[in-house]
Amino acid sequence: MLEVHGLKKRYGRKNVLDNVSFTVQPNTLTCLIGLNGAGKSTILKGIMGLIPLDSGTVLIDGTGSKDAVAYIPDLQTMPGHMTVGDALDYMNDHYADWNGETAESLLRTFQLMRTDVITDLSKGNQAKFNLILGFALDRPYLILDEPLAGIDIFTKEQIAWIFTSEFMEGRGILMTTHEIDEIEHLIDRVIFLQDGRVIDEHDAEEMRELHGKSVQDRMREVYAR
Amino acid sequence: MKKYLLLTNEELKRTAKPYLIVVAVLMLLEFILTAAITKMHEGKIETFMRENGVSMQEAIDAYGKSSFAQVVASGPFLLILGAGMMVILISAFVIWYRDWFGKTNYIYRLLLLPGSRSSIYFAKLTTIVLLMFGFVAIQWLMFFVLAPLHDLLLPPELFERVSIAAVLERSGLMYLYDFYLPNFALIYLFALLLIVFIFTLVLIERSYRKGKKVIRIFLQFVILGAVYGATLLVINSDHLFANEKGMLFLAFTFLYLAFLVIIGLRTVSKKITV
Amino acid sequence: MRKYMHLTAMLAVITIGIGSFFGYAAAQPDLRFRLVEQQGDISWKDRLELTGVINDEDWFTVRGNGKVETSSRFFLADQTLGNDMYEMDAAYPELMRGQPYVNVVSESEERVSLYGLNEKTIEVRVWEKKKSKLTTTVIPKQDIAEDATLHRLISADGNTADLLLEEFDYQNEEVTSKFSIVTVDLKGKRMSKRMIEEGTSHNGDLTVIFDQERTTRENAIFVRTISDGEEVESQSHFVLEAGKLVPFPELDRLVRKDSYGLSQYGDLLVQLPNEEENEPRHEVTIFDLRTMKGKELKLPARSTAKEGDRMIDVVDGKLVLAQQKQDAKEGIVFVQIHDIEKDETVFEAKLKGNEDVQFRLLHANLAER
Repeated sequence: MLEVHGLKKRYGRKNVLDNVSFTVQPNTLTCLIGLNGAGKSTILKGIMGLIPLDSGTVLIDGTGSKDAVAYIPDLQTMPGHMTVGDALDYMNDHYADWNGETAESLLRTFQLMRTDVITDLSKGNQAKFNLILGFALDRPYLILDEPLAGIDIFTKEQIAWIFTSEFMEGRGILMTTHEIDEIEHLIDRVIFLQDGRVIDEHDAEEMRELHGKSVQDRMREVYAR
Repeated sequence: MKKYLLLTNEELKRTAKPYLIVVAVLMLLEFILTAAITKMHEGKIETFMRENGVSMQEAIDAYGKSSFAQVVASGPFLLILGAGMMVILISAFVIWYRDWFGKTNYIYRLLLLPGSRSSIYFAKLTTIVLLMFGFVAIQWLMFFVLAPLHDLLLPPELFERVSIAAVLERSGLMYLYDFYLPNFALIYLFALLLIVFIFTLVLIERSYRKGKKVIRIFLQFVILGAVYGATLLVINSDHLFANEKGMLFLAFTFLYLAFLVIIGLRTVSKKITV
Repeated sequence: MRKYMHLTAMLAVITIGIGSFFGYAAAQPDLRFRLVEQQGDISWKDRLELTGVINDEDWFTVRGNGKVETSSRFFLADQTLGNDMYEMDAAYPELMRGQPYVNVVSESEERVSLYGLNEKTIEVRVWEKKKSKLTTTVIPKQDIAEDATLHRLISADGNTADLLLEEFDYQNEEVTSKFSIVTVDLKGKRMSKRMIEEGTSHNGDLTVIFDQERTTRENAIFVRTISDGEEVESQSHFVLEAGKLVPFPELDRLVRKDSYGLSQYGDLLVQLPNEEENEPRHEVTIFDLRTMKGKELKLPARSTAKEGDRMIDVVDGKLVLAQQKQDAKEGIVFVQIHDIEKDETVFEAKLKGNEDVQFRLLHANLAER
C-alpha cells in the first residue's frame, strides 16, 4: 500500500498542498483529479522526492524507501543526444530491477527502434517511450503524471491499451490526467483535489453502480460548487 | 561508486562535443597567433633594415631576436588562456543548469535514480575538474608543438631557442605550471575551491525561492568575506610565525572547502527541487 | 568497458599531458656549482659552506663540493628560515613570538633576553634556556620618541639593563640623531634616560657603527662623518664609556675616509675597499676590538669584472670573500678563504654555475664536518 499522509507544501503564502492524505492499494488504478493548479503534479513529485515537502509522510509498503515506485513524468528526462537504445542501456546500468525483456517487448509493441533519437521522436512516441522506462521496472507501484496529455487519438488508444495488458498485473497505479474518457472504465478509485486539498474521494465502481454516475459526471458536480 | 562512475562518464559524454570544439578553436587560435606574431617580428626587422639601410645584425641589435617566450607572454596569447579559464568557470554553471533548461529535464532522471544523490554532485564536480585538467594537459603539449613552429618560421639568425622552462618563467605562466608539486597542488586547490563555490551558489539558486534564495546566496558571500577576513587577520598577525601562518591558511582553505561541499551535498539531497 | 569510455579517454589525455609535465619538471637540472679551479689547502673545500640568495629569490647553500641546496619553494613555507635574522625565531619561538618591532636581542649561555619598544611601554622578555621559562616585564615608556631605535644592550645585571637608544631631532632642516642611554629597572618596573655627552665638535652625522650583538666588547662604537653633501671630508670615531663619547684615535688612523664604513663580525671590524677597476689586490682593513689593533689584509683580486659584487663574512678568524663575475653567461663566483692572523690566503676556488644566476652571499660556514 502506498500511503500519503498530511502532505503540506507552501510557496510563499500560498498553500499548494494542504494536508493531503490518501492511499493507493496494490492492483488498483487510482486517479487524482483536479483543475489546473490544484496540486496534482506537486503531489506526485512530492511523493518521488523531486520536490521537497514541508511536512507529511510517504510510506510505501511500510517503508520510506522509494525503491518500490516507478515514476513516469510527462516530459523527457533522458539526456538530449541519447537514442532509445542508449536510454534502455542507461536504465539497465542503474537499476537492478530493470526488466530488459519487458522493455524489448514494449519496444516492439509501440514500434519504436533502438536507433531512434529520443528528442527527434513525435510527442506521441515520446510518451510511449516514457511508458517503457516506467513499466520495464519490476516495481509494484507506478506513478504517472498526465500520460495522455496532448497526444493524438491513435496513440492514446495504444497507451490506454497498456493499462489492460499483462504489464499491469499486480501493480498499484497512481495517476493524474485530464483525459478521463479513455480510461474511465479502468479507474478503480478517484480522488478529487481543489486548491491543494482533498475534497472528495470515491470508489469508482460504487459511484457507477450505486449512483449511476460516471467519473466525469461526478467531476462536474464537485467542481461546479 | 558504480553510480558515480556511470554518471561521470555520462556527463563527460554529454560535454564531449562542445569541449572538443572549444579545444580545437583554442588550438587553432594559438597556431595562428604564433605564426602571426613570429612573422610580424620578422616583418619589423625587415622594415627596419629597409628604412634605415642597415644590416640584419644591426636590426637585431635594435629589436632583438624573437623567441617563443615572447609569443606566450603576449597579450593575445594570455587572452586565449584566459578564455579557456572562463570556459571552465562557465561550464561549472552550465553543467547544472542544462539539466533544467536543456532540451530535456535530465534533472528528473538524476534525482529519481536509486542510491545516494551525492554521486550526482561528485560526478559533476569530477567532470569539471577533468575538463580543467584536460585544458592544462593539452596546453602543455601544445607548447611543444608551437615552439618548434616558431623556430621553423624564422631564419636561424632571427630567433633564440628557449627551453619551455624558460618560456614559463618569462611569461609568468610558471604559476599555472609550477614544477614544485606542493605549489602546483595549491594553485589547483584554489581552482577547485572556485568551482565548488560556483556549485554551491547554483544549488542554492535551484533549491530556494525568491527571497530565501537571495538571502542565502548573499550569506554565502558574507561567509566568503568572513573566511577571507580571517585569513587576512592571520596573515597580518604579529603573533604567528610565517610557517604557522602558512599552515593555518591551508587549514582554513580545507575547512572552507569541506563546508562548501557539505552545503552542496545537503542541498542536493534534501532541498533541491525540479 | 564501453560504459566508461569517455571517462577513460579523458583520464588518458590528462595522464599523458600532466604526466609529461611532471616528467619534464623532474628532468630539470638542479642548480649546481662546479669547482673549475682551486688553489691552496684543498681540505677547506669540504668545510666551505656559503649561504646566500640566488636571483633575489631562493635561499640556498653551496658547498665546497659544488652541491647546492635550495630552501623550500612552497608558497606557504617560510622562505627565510636559514637566514641569520630568523634563526632566533626558529630557536626560541616563545621568546620571539609577537615581539615589538623595535628590539634588541642578547644571548648568553644561560639565557636569551629581548628588549623592545612598544607604543607606550618597554617590554623585557627573558628566556631561561635550562628551565625553558619565559618571563616578561612591562615598563611604562617615558620621554621616548615614537620613531626611536634601540641599538644595543650596553650592560645588564639581571635587575637593571642599559640600552643604547637613538632618537631624531627634526628641528633643523636636516634631521640629526640624538643618542641616549636608557636604564631599565626590572624590579622597580621603571626606566630612566640620560643623554650621552658628546665631545666638543657637534657637526656632522653621528651614527652607530653596529648594533648587533655577539661582541665581547660591551660599549658601542660611533663614527661622526663630516661631508659636504657629496664627498666625505673626515670621519672620527668614538667609543661610549660611562655615558660619554670618548675619542677612538686608533680607528681614525686605520679607516679610509673615502670608503665604505666598518662592518662588524663578532670582535672584528672590517672595512672593504672601494671597488677598483682591474686592481691586482683587495685591501681589506681589519680592527680587532680585543687587542685594539688594526691591520690591512691584501687579498689577490681574481675577478676582472668591471664591477663586482664583493661579499664577505668573517668566521673563525678567517675572512671569506666571494666575488661574482657579472658579465659571464653562467654565474661564476670566486671564493677566497683568507687567514686574518697570518694574513695569507689559504684556499681559493672558482665556482661555475650551470645557470645564469645572481649570487649574494649572506654568511659563510667553515665548521669541520
